[in-house]
Amino acid sequence: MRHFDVLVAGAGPAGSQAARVIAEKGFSVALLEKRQEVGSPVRCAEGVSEKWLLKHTGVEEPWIEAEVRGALLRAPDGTKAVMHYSEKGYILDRARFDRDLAWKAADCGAFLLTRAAVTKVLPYEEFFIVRTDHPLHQEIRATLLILADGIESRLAAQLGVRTTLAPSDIEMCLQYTLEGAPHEEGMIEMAGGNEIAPGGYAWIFPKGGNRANVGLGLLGSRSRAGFNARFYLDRFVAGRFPDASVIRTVAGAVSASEPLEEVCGEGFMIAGDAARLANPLTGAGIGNALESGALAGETAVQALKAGKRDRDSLEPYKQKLMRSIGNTSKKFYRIKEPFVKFTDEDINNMIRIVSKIDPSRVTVAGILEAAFKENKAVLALIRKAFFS
Amino acid sequence: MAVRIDYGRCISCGGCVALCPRGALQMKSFHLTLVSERCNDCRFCVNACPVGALWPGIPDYGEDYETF
Repeated sequence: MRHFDVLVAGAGPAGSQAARVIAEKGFSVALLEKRQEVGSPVRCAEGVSEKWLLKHTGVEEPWIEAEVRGALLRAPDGTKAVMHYSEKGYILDRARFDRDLAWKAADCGAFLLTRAAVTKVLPYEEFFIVRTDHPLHQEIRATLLILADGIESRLAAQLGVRTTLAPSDIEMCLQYTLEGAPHEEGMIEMAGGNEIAPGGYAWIFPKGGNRANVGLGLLGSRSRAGFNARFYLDRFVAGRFPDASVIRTVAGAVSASEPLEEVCGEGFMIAGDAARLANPLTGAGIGNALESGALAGETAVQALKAGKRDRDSLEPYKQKLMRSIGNTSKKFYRIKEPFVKFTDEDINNMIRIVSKIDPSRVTVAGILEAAFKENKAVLALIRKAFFS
Repeated sequence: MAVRIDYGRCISCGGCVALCPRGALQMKSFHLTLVSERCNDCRFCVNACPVGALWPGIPDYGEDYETF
């Protein structure tokens, strides 16, 4: 049985980033992925802000499918508002992106194992015994564990962390990649409304040329058998792009909850979607995953250098994570609650107000403030969340 | 009673696994599995499934079933 300093479960952005940080410092690390090819199938709308890429991975030509400069918000009655981003955004080729990140980790010395799902983690004295379904590596030992196994994570539950999401805290998403879907170039489009996506929104992300990721997410508690994501998406696509062909179907769920309270414990840390780090309002998660992976990796290196693996020595991960993304995420969660209860009229009013602001001055906080101008009780809540 | 999985429709997105309050649904690689003893037919997953791949359990009429 091989023994590693760290075992990372899941080779998404969070896992690969953590593995690379650890391998670069010369510690032995295993990176396990259940897919037979890292990155594929994709489960993502593929949008990311440039600042996260610059901070963690740099920007490489083959990853980029399209550049995004702003967002177009569309109300149920057709009112449009434009928002220019202060920083550039990219639509990625996630299959290529994930693969390259994992390969980079392997290049730095990480032991990458594909088609190896972790089935069980057993705490044992000073290490973990990790069972996988890989025929050659059925058991692996590791001193530390980083769980980056995504939304359906059950490994954290095996270690006693409660990870179950309430139906009101999860967005069920479905996305088609369409060919022959004309859209505004350089802009992402978001459409809201209870007829379009109850408790969520529909998006159109450009992928270059006439290709686009068209998808939507609806709140788990607002989805009904028969009136599920596929029903709403088929209707949306039939209305907007009747002639487009579906070249890929992507499904996935995004957490719309607060980050986990317990992101670390005796010998383990939880990163990325498994720690419920996606933005509860927008669903953006790639940047947060990269950040949490890097922080988990750094903390693991510190702990290994000190020769410790107890909860206290991994506690810095939680503190750093809360400071960099956790607190923002909590603020967004607080305003998600009134947001998902909006009627179509509320959304119309909100976008009408935003459309009167200069696009370059529209920020998320600005939109929210404008959005709740009519509704004073909610405005007070937003103020408290953002400006206290 | 336990929910039923329609594998023809399931796209292994993992949403139901994150939702299941009793850990009855699990994802083995990309294959959704159900531990039926744990399922209490709460139907969170049935309602939320983005592609309608989960169905409510069939009521168990026991031995009297034949008479219906």
